[in-house]
Amino acid sequence: MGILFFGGIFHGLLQSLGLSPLAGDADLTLENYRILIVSHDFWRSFFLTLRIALISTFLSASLAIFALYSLFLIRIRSNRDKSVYFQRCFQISMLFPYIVAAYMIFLMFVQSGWIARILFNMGFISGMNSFPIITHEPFGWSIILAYVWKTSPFIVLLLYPLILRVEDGWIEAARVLGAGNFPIFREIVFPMMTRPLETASFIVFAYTFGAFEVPFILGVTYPKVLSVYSYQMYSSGDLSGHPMAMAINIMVLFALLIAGAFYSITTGSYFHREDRS
Amino acid sequence: MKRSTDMAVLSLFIFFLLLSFLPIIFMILLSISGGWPWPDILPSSFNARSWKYVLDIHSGTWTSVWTSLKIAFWATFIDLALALPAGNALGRYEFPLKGFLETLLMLPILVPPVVILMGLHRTFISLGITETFFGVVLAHVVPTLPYMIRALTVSFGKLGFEWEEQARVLGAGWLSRLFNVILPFLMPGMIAGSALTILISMSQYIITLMMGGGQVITLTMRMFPYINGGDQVTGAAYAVLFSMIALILLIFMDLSLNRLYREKRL
Repeated sequence: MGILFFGGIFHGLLQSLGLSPLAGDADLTLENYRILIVSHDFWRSFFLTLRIALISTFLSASLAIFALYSLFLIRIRSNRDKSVYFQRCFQISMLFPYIVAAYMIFLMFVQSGWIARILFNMGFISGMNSFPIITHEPFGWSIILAYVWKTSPFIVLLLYPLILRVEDGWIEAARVLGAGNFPIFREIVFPMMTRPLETASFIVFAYTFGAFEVPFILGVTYPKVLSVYSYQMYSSGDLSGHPMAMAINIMVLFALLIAGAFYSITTGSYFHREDRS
Repeated sequence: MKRSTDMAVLSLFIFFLLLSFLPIIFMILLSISGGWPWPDILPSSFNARSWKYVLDIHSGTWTSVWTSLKIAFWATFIDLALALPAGNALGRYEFPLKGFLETLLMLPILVPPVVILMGLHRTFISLGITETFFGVVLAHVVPTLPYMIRALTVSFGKLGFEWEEQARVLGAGWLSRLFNVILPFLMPGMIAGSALTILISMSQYIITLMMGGGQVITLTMRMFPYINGGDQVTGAAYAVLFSMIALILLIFMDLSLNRLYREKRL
């Protein structure tokens, strides 16, 4: 399996350097990378991908924290079972694969979609043309929406057990000391969640940075996100596109590596070690 | 003051919950709609055309569902075979570079599977396993294995050595230890890991397309043309069908987990 995994990356690296094990030519060259680095299209793709991933991660984590606070309120105001039940409901989008999520977001938010119809009937907009274009537009709003819908339940899923672990006694004690619900959450629950939240956000970032399906369905022809850009180069039918596609892939890995290093430095250790408890 | 802000927060939360259910309700309505002119909020007429087509034996839906399940099953099987020893090592033993190895085995969660498989594609071609069932199964192992390893590492961590030791002291043979001590501890992790594997495997599109070369038709592959600019009503029916299958599988897994917890009182 390790061979499968690293073999894939290694082969990609070789091909991107102009060494093709099958074609037999062996000119070690950085030409593909040079072309990429001076290419305007590449950087547009790169920043589009980065922007989508960062905004999605930020919104997804914010929504998740809000949901966790609400679940916490439900837990302390009524009972544990009810909070578990609401948590389950919040997981609903995890049943749908990303391509279906993308399709749903498209149908809801296209100019003639359900949201536009509802707003029109409530009198907020005067026609479908006054609903903003958020699907198939160059900023990628619909891609972000699909990612947030899919990934914030994932973050909640990872962090929710911590809410259940808060003991009633702690809350009682804080109450006696005069703390309201929000200060209790901020001072007791949130500090327990920061490390797993960082890990979960990093997973979401890495996923949204490299994922293919959603932008493939909801994106525009230009600029494309990196994974779609790379895949279309790879499948263009012309073998000469392969090394370039691999070079893009290696750049994606490189970017994720830098993001990972940044993550490790800011959080102070390896990922995945803290969520064991 | 506290009460009213709490209420505001909870109302907003309920609003978000409803919002996240909205696309699903919409999808179900769309799948049974006959016509739906702007700006109606509900379809003007209903019919079962798309469902008749999707569920028809000749449309290939059921063959593709079967292919999806078979691939998911084999991927789960391979995952288990690889993750049991890995989970055992990571969950119960201490060795140098353990943290490093753990991070390494988790990497496929962070590295896009497309990147890995695009690099492997040519190797797979030269091995002659592209466009085959087996090739697709192997491709699905890449994104799912880390989750299985994760689940089993936690289970093995809970098992430790003491329980087995105690059973041995009490005179239990290895077979009896396996069935009465080890498996009950590992079952929850195995079920959770399998559930995730099946869900992830069934959702894959691009790696199935790349490794299967369009020859291995899973439900996702069957659905894709309708979703990507095809007939919207049929696409909606496929989307609803897919989520129902996923839901049934999850409920089944959940029930067996609950039964296990009750029986073994873990």
